[in-house]
Amino acid sequence: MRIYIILLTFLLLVAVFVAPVRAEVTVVKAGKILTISGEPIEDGVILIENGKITEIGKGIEIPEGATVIDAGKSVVMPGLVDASATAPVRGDLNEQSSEITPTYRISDALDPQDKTLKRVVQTGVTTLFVSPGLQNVIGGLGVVVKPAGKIPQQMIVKDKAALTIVMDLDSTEGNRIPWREPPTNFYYRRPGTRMAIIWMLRKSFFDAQQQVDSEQTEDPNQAVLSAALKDEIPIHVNARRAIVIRAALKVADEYGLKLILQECTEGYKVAGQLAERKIPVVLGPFYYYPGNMGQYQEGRKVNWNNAGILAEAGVKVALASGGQPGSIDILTVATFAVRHGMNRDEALKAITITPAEILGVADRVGSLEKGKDADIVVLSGDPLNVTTRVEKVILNGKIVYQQTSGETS
Amino acid sequence: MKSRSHITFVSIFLIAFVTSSIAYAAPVRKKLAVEAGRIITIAGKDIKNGVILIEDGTIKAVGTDVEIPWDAFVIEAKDKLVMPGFVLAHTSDGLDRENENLPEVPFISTFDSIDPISTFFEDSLRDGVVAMLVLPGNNTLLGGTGTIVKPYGRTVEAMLIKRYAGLKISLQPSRNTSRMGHMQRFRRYVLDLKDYLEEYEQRKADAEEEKKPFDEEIDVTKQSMVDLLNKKLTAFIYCDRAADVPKAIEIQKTYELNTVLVLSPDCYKAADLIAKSKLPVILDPELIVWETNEQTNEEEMKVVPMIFHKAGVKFAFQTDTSQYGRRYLWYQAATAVKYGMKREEALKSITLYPAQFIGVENRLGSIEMGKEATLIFLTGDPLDAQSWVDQVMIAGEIVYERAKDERLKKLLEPPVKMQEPKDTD
Amino acid sequence: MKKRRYLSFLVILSSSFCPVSSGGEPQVLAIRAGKIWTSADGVITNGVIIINNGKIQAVGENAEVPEGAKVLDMSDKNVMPGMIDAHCHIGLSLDILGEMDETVAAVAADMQILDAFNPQADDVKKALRSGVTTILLAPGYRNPVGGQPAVVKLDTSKADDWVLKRTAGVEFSLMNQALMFDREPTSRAGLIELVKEELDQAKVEKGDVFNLRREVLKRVVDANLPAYIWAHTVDEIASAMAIIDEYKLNAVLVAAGQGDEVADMIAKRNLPVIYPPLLLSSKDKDLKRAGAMANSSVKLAFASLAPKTDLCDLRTSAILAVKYGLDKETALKSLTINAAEILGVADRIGSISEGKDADLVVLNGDPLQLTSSVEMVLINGNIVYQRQGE
Repeated sequence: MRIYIILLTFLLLVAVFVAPVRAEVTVVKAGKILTISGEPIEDGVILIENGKITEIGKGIEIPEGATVIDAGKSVVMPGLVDASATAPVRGDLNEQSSEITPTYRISDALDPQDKTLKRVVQTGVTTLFVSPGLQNVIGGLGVVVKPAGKIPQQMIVKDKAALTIVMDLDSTEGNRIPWREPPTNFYYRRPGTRMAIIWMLRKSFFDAQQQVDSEQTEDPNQAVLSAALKDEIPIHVNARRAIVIRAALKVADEYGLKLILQECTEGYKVAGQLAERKIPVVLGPFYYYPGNMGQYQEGRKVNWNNAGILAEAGVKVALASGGQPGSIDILTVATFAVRHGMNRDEALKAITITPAEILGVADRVGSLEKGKDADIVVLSGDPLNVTTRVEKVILNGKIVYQQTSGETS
Repeated sequence: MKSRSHITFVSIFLIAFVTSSIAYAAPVRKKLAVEAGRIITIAGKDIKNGVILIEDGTIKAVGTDVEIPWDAFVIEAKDKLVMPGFVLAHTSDGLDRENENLPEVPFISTFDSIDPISTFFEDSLRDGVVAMLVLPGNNTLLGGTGTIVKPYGRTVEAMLIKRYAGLKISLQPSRNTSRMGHMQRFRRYVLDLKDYLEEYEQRKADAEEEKKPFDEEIDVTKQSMVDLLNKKLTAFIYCDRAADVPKAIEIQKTYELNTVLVLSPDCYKAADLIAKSKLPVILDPELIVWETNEQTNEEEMKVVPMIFHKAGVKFAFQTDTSQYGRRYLWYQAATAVKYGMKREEALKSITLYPAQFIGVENRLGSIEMGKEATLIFLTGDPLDAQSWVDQVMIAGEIVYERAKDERLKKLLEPPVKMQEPKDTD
Repeated sequence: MKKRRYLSFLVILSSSFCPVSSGGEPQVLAIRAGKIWTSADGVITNGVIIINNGKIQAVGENAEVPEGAKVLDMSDKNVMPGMIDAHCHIGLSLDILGEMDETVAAVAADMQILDAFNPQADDVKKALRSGVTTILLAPGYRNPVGGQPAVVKLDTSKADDWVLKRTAGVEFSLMNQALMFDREPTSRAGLIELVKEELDQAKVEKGDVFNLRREVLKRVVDANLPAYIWAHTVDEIASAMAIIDEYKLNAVLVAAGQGDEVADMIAKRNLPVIYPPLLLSSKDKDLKRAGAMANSSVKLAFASLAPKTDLCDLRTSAILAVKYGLDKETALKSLTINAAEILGVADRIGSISEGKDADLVVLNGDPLQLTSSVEMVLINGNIVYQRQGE
């Protein structure tokens, strides 16, 4: 008899302690779910486990013990993806000592404590692309991050996500006239004209091409450029005026490069060409008039409907905030893009799945689908409405921002 | 003989025809009726499918069962929303320079430096602003007097709504002065002015006693400050920091001035003080302030309009062209609504309240009988970013039509004759 | 007659040439102390320390005082081991702020800071008076790969003995202060690249050309020589850990003030931390960090980073840390034995133990009280400082 009691107790103990521990399940219920990948779901449910979406749809059974986030009548959409964001880094974004620095990784400068991250999360952005500065002709390798984590390594979603190239005149900014300074200072040899910039670019790619041909990859600089030539690393070219965009297309043709254009202020002028070559575009920041353009006022002609015109021509358009301090949030960018003529659905895609695809992280973010990261934004209403507020932001299944009770004082 | 009478007859006929056609070609019609899908009156409840009757540029009636006179010209706007035009209670745009170099120049006027060709006015009209008080900038102690204009007209005279309106005082110390020196300068100016007035009155009284004619006028450089002290002008006092607010209130109380406060974003910290003083306020275009908590090094977001709203302060919005959104008054109102302000109150802050602050509420700010027929026709709700100003009517005259706005077309449509060059390489 | 006078004259002459140790102390010294904070075996009340030939011969409550020993009665005083400033730049006289950073070149691994040291400098004397007897004399934080720090005692009268380690390691800096606008690197990305490049090059065996810089970096890469890495904020510390992991370095984190936020990661790698000074002007939030770090099993040592900071009394750092959460015993250890262990000189200094050097500090009260003052400092058994008057 006793033996049986002992055996029973033993089995019970085993059942309690050895039985598989149920994974923590979080559930989000919302009046409207904009999946972006498909039709909106009314009164839908999203199941989240281990930071990933495991189920999404209508009438899904809510498991026992799950944490329920009831968003009531609110609208839910995927966490926003900002393909040109203010950089949460410390120190200079640019390595001034040379204008060709392909191996430099901006991920080395990430600062998880940067104040802008908190602001960015409040605008609904859960994935950002951080680019090296724009003052070098070949600036280095950008990184896709999420605004979470204690140390930089925990922020990274995809390192070496793109090689940044600037073909506009930004790299001539660093030049200084020698006066009371030793002429050996490295600021004096920066390129001064567009000719020089494009020459430097061509030379870099030419040298890299030679290496690819001869299968030698000892020089780390060449290694990065070779990888770019072989389409292993996407190339982001920052070009604003139509003339510069056309120059970029020429270089791309010469070396068979697949480009992604950043900023592209006059993109609407060459929409046809961009569509033809299937070159995606990341637009931002937005300028109203030449007077508000920032430093390089070399006669950029602004069209408020740049996004709409490009999208209509068949170009893949992502809307970004533009990486400048004080930039407007991308929901407002999208709202105004629609005001100026962009299609609503295109605009919503332009801040979610399109930038995710451009950055090569669409397997994880950009839409609400089974298997993707649980990055979710809860809004008080239609996302493309100025009076709509971000109520909650969920990152990797955890609430990282919640609005305070509607008042702030 | 017959040919001459023929000629006379024909010429009389021609003259009559021409003069009458001129009369009919005139854009201002005596009687108008606007049939609108939705009317936001600001003064009362919104009206669906209503009519606004206008005569001689003034609103005669507004409602759902208004009878349209047989000779009224009907403007069909059944798919539009009609509301009062926006009023901008303070701006220093549209001038060549915002500030004079000398600190005490109350005698100059923005009337003399308003540039009618400035894109600021063109944009303002396009965005539905129908009246703005243009005042000097924030860098002069006594900056000068302001001018209320409408953003329509080739000359300042044509734009004019009110010539002499508001006197700008700035408490931001200019040019290396400290706040002590700045305040003292103001007090000294007023003291000297009072001395001058005393002596003037004395001379006047003496002349009366001696039954002598007295035709001395008050020094022209002092006239505007005298008018300010006599409450004939309103003081618009700019506070650069929260610490300036008690000073502004002190000035208002000491000299018993009609006052409107123009605030920088930092002044939200003085919201309760301002509420007690019951002074009206014009907010900075920057509505969101991020304050760093010194101890935790964390940032806290402050929504300025909400702080004032909760404190019970009446305010109007300003705009600036530095960012998206912020250049539009409706966007400022929408931002406040986003953070919890009531819609009606937010809309008042861009129409009726600014009109009251600048003293034109008898004409503008709401759709009511007796006020000017100065209206904007929107394609949708004012707080919806997808709405556009379709037409602007000023005193019964349509002065802006989006369909005819060439510059806007250029900004929104693809370049027409763009022939993309074929690469020859 | 003449011979005797001549002999006595010789005797007198020769005795006058006898090497006289500073202060002319006798061979054996016995110090009776009210409280002895040993940093090794706890606190001894009413004990005695016997010093012979500069070393601690015995310490304890009942240690026997040999005959002929000079006895110092400190029975109303506290005695603790000479404090070790684990990182400072004192004694670099000429241009105080210029001498510690060789900023012209980004890499200065072959430079030895000891070459610039002036033991007679005022700030060295000031440090002595505050009870610091040994320091890690180090280069500054403005070179990504800096020079070689040295461990020295602050009394140089015994010419051959005061340098405990000429090359204690190699200094690295991953802080933003290592970025300069007119010399590479100007960005953090460039900084990390540069450091890695130097370490990579050191790994490669390059023929017979002797390169002093590569020689010393090779020792670092082989983990024979510690890398002292400046990293203050969390992201800098994370960068440091990434490099330490990748190159498998033997490392010490310098000025890792925000290390408490990643203390578990630091403790896991057994990385010791040289803590930046806690000042009366520091924020509350920062003053709590030292205690938090120590509670997560990170080994701490205090440093003044003088003259880069205003801290002129190392003890104040420890006192403030205790006020904000560090326990007293750990605080005292962090001033003494922890530093000795981190610097690799614990066989000689850091605690009042038999066989170690007689480097002692006498205070008129509890060492962790702000109101206590240093009354006497001994190095190798010699009184090098004695407070005058009241």
